[in-house]
Amino acid sequence: MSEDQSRLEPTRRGFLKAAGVAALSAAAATGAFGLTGCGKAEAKEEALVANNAGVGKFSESVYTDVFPFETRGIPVLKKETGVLRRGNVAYVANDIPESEIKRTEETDVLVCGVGLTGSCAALSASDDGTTRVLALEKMDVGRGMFEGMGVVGGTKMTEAGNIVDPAEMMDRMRAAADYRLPIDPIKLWADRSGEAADWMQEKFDEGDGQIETYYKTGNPTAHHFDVPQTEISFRSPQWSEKTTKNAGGGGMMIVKDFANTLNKRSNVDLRFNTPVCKLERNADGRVTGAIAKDADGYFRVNAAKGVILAMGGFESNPAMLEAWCRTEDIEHCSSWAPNSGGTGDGELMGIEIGAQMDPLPAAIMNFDFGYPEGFYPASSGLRPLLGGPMINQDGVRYAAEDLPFQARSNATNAQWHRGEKCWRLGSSTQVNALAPEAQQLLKDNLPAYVEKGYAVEADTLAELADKMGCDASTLEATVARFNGFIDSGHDDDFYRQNLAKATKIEGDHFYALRNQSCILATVSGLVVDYYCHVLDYDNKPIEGLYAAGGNSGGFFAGEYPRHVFGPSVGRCVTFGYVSGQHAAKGE
Amino acid sequence: MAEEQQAPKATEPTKKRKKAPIVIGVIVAVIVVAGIGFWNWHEQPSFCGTVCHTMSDHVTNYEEGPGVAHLHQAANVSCLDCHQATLDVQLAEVRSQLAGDTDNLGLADRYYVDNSVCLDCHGGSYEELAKSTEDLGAYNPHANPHGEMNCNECHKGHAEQQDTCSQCHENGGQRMLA
Ligand SMILES: Cc1cc2nc3c(=O)[nH]c(=O)nc-3n(C[C@H](O)[C@H](O)[C@H](O)COP(=O)(O)OP(=O)(O)OC[C@H]3O[C@@H](n4cnc5c(N)ncnc54)[C@H](O)[C@@H]3O)c2cc1C
Repeated sequence: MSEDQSRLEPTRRGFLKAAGVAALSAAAATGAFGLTGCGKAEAKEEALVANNAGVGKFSESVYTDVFPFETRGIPVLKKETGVLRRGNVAYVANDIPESEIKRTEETDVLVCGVGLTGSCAALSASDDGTTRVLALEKMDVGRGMFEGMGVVGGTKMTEAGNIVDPAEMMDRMRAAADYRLPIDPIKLWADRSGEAADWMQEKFDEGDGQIETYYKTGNPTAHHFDVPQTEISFRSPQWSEKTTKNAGGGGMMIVKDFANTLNKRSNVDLRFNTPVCKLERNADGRVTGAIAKDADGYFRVNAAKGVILAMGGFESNPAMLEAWCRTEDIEHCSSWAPNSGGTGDGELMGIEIGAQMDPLPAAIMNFDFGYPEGFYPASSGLRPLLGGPMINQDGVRYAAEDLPFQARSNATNAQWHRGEKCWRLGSSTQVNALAPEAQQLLKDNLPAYVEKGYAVEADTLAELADKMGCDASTLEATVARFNGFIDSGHDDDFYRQNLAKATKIEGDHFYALRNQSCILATVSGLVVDYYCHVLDYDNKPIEGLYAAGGNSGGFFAGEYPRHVFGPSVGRCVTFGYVSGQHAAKGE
Repeated sequence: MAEEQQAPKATEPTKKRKKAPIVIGVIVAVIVVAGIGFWNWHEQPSFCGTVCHTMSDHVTNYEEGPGVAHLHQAANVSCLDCHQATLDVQLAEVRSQLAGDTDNLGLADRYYVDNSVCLDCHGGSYEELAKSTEDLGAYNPHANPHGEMNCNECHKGHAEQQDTCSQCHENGGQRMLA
């Protein structure tokens, strides 16, 4: 609530009061969560996307019933996810009666979802200037959450002298998935991501955002996850420091710039607040289009050349996370993306008509540095304390701090109650090393976290242990052992590789910050071939249907390998570009 | 209500025939009266809290506690005004009750409040709502560059308010008050 509450005072009152059972059932007839509360008939409008999760019509069993074959359940611990962000599911499981379909529209290529992948697909499909493209986005803005992309080759890489062997890179990606992958998707990325990066720069040049791609060197390795450099980053003189500093800020500006460019093209029709709800297939099995919904109701889109699925994953659908992911991946974690469009619509729609879904449990992109409400913001000033030793509920160190994000998340979730109470330790040594303003920022912001129980501080380790709820002598021994590794230069317990960068936990004040996993995206989807055709369970392309980016599959298994830079966005751009090209030609 | 529901007992067949229209009339009247009575009661927070299930903190913090529910109470808005109970939702709930599945009535899902319910009174549309907080400038949470968000991500009905913006970046010094 804002400072001045009066601004948010209700402007319109007209609640349904004592109107009787007839009104109740009439209300029911307008849809499960339709806007039925207003007494004024003219104000009765249905919610654009009904949130039907859990209601008879759309029971959670849809997440198992949707599969076209018999499934079995592996007995796993059932727990609720810590992800509270919940978007509205647009996928409609039941048949939509013809009487509810208000109109029919014709196009060549229908792009479903206009985040990064959908923007690329729509641009690519319309590049020839003649192919008619209809691009439909569920939300009022397409999702754009990323800072950089992982590619192999391309002009910027080559000019910077970073030459990566595609065969090596493919092997690294497959190794990261324990080789649980089909051939094509990784090969498509390794073969064509450089070309896609060049194409992306051309689209920036066509736009108004003055965006430039450039090669960026990262840390050479994380722990023993040795990988080549793959990062292409983005910059623009129009971006403020805030944009570039916040992870995901640049991505937002890119998706905005692409929407602007799409709007300038005469052969593109881009619409927001228009969810796609269901795919349509003819008797021969070809996907002919989809049913979508806007303020006027459902409408049919016939797509003469093809339909591209670019609706991302399901990170904003807690019920689906619970149904499709490992319990330990989704329980003690929060969401790290302020977007609620990703509800699995694209996966569900595809599976319903026979598309091959990646085997479950689904892979997620997870980082640590999370706390129960989100990801510790850089603006909190607490990050300097988050590099410290990783300590579990018993006061015992449990992992090497130089592991890549997903490994740290996994190790955290392997502790007591799947990571319910893990910490990062800090001390006055780390704080005193900061510039005065940074020290002040930390001191200003810490109390709010202490108040909520996410942080504790004390003058002695014993007192800190007491506040953490663990044994004092255990914590003291843990810290002494960790400090000893820094002296000896060898981590006897977890083989940390960059001990030279570590500082000791010592001094006159100590801190512990709760540290848990955060979900950025789900990265499992519909398996595609080298041309981004969606495959059925016999590995046959479903005619007229393409998938790309987070909506596509066959690229990750188990989890997102964060030791490789940006393969997710690399896949979004490459597959968006390739699917658009092929769909425009109808091949 | 219990005594009203007792229909008059007919003893003699002759009288019965004569009284039939009256009996039917009375039954109809009773059903109507009971229906209205039930409906009125059904509208009260006490109904949700006592009849079907324990509402954990939801009813108590409607009276007082964290969350915007108590502000709605002060404005005379009751449970079902926001948690709209359409017939299919209620039937699904009754089915769970009958199946003895009272631990899992799916209340959070079935009575989920989505933006349209909030906007119905607050602004009418997201754009209009954004105008009402325009003076928050670059950090107007209702016109943020990420797009429309669920109202209840920040404005929790029955829990501590969440300042979602500041979970990732600074927010221009705003605080959630309620
Ligand atoms: C903070 C943050 C930082 C990240 N940084 C990186 C990074 O640096 N590098 C990297 O590789 N990855 C990064 N990621 C992951 C990256 O965000 C995803 O891989 C990427 O966004 C996927 O893009 P997409 O377009 O396929 O899906 P999305 O971004 O999810 O977009 C899908 C779009 O489809 C819309 N949609 C959904 N359902 C429907 C429907 N029924 N009808 C119409 N539209 C629909 C959604 O509203 C959305 O706009 C980051 C994630 C986060 C949260």
